Amino acid sequence: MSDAPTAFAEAVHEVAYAYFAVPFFRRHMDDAGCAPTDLRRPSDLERIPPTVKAQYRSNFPHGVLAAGHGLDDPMLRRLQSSGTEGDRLLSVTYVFTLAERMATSLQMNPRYRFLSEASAIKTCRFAAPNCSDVECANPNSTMQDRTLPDGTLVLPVYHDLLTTPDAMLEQAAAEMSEYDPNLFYVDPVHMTWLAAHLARRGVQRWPGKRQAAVILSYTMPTHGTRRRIETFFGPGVPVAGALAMSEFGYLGMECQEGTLHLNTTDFYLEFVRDGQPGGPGELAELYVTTLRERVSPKIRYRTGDFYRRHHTPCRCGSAHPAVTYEGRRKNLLTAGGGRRVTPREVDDVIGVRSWIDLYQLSQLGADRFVLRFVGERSPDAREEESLRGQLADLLASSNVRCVHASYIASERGGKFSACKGPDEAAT
Amino acid sequence: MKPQLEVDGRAMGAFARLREEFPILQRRVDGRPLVYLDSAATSLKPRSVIDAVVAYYTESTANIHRGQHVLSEEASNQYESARTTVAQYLNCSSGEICFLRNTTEALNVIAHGLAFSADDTVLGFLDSHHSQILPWRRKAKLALVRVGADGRVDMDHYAELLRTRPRAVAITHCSNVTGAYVPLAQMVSMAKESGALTIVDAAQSLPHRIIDLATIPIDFLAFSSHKMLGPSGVGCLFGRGALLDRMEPVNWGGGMVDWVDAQSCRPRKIPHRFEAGTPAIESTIGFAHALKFLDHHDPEAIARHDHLLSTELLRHACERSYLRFLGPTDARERAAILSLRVQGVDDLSMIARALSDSYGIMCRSGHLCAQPLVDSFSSSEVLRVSGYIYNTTEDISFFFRALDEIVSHLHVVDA
Repeated sequence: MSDAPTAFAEAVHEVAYAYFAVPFFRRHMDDAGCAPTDLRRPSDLERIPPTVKAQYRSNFPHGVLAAGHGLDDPMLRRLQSSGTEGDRLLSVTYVFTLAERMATSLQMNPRYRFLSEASAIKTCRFAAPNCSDVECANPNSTMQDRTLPDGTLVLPVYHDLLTTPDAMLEQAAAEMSEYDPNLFYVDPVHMTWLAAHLARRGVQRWPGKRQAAVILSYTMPTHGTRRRIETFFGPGVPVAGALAMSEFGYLGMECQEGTLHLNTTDFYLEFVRDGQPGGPGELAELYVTTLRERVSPKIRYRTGDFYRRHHTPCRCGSAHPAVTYEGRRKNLLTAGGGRRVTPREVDDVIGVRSWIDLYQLSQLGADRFVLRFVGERSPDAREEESLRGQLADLLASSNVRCVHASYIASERGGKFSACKGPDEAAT
Repeated sequence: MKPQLEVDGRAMGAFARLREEFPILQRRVDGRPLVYLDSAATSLKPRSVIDAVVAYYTESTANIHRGQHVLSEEASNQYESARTTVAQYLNCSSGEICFLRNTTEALNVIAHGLAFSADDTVLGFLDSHHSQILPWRRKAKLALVRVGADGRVDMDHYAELLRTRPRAVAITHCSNVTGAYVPLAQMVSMAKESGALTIVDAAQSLPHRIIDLATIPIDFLAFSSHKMLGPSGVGCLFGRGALLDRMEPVNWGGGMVDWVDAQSCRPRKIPHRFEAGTPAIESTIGFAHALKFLDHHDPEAIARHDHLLSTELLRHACERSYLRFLGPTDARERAAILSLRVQGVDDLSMIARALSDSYGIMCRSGHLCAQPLVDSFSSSEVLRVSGYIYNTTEDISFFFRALDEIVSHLHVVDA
């Protein structure tokens, strides 16, 4: 994927740095019988076993910090991935490294370049609270309580999104107006829920006057959530998805054509299918190797995220590879006949329907699926049967049930999955 | 496809497989197979529930919330996931589900939290469990709606009392004595029209029938895990968010406050403010697995099975002249719960003991925590048999044959 010779050379340099400066990687590569000098061509990287979150977690901090670095460095930023998912991780890197990765991604879309020219990026975040139920999502908290050191305002919301009371949604909307950000960094599900609430009380359009932009992150934007958010902010406010992970910061962004591009300036990327390099159009997992990461490099890190590379370059002309995000491993469904069905494929079937605000398709057994959806109105029998039939075709199953629900649970970490695979649905 | 329980009384293949999920049914009582007909008191537990409770002790024992270590996180995740499982089962919001000890505690929390005055009227029903009578009697003026000789609520009397503008109606969806189901949707609708809050005791009904809270505008619902395949020690209170938010908690202490200083404190948001102290973590986790077990089967089939057992109970009881029973004679209106009086026998405890020790049949005798109703029917106590999804029609036939045999040796009537 990142197959330019310079990219490979940088990856080898990163591996060598990790090998000599980071205890965990020295052991990891020694155990595999591999040394940096063995890496002469891109396929040689496959000699290094991929790494997973648990390895970084169990070696933190002693085994994953590069020699000469300490956690007391004021330029370090700690990034905590969702501990409430049972696979938590604390990552550290320099603030300026994160800024570089962000800048690379924002440059992929010219409609966001105004941010780099603004005197300050004033960010408002609306997504799952990044802490336990006890300290966060507190209806008594103030804007000051929720303003991060970098000035980002975090809006209040409950972990289980759909249980957030109307009063707290009103509070979020009021704070959004008062803070008047130029960047909305939001989970599309959360933003959709807020926009739907505001629409019910007659506010159809974001009333802000300053130039602003919206970045959709955290969860996969669906056709429905994207449409709702675009409608709410209006044509003058760009809305684009960004790929970001707490382990790395920004990994990519959608261009003005709506195509997702991944950052090959700051990362060496591999797409792996059944242990082999995945070709264009194939469903493959993304492995990430950091480049120029001085504090805590990550080598061949398995993201658990699946993509399809595009066959042709994007019309925007970006050198960064064009991909389609298909979903996380745990959210893949298994259709009749054993074919893997991705959340993206499901969403392409569901599309935009006026009677669905949010949905969740769960696989309850080998051949048992239930689609729960929330929306302002119930579908008529023909609408519901049409959707059920389309899903039955996609899933090669005659056992697909549709439920118009008043509530759909978020994950414990606060994220909202549009699809739940059989393992996740059982928990 | 969800597994279909065979309920025609002839081929119970799939149902027999379901029985295999309950390890205790392998037990023998002095060499005899166990026949469990006391599910209205507590249900048996399937293997998945037992495994979930054991897994908490063997893999993730920890207190929930606030802990930073991984075991605490796992336990917290499972505990809070149970809340969302319950919410999805009832089609309500997880923020409206409070975990308490049992149905009784849930009803007391409501009665306390609504803070009625002694002059406020609450409508109750003669066939209710003590838990749906005594809290209201202590906190308000309780007026009882009549229940007819057939166990049905006197709807004319109910409508008449609603015209007195009570503050609340304390409904029991299914009597633990008569097994009679009330027309819940109709009664809730009538109460709402009169402006009364509705508090529903669903401890006996929810194990057999789905209650969709998005469809029926019930204000409060109380039920227990242990009567629907889950562990004991955890009950649920559902309350509409706006109502819960105005209620005063009964218990104050750890886990239910956001902030405490020398003079004051700030309670947590709902539902957590009603969950002071360490809860029954393992039971709550087990309860979620019980709901998943029930959800794995077709709810219509579970309801049909309840109806089949009820029909069999009625048929056998009607065939015996020495028996009298409480409640409707139409099986469609009742659960598989039958309370019996044996003509000429006041002390039924001896019969219950003999059924247990000589036949391996577990059932219950007494006033069943519904003394006003039982006293109106019998000079002493009743013998209650109650079935659930693991029971067969053969269990019921066996019970009546055993009862015939015991009674025939009492020489009180011609059995």
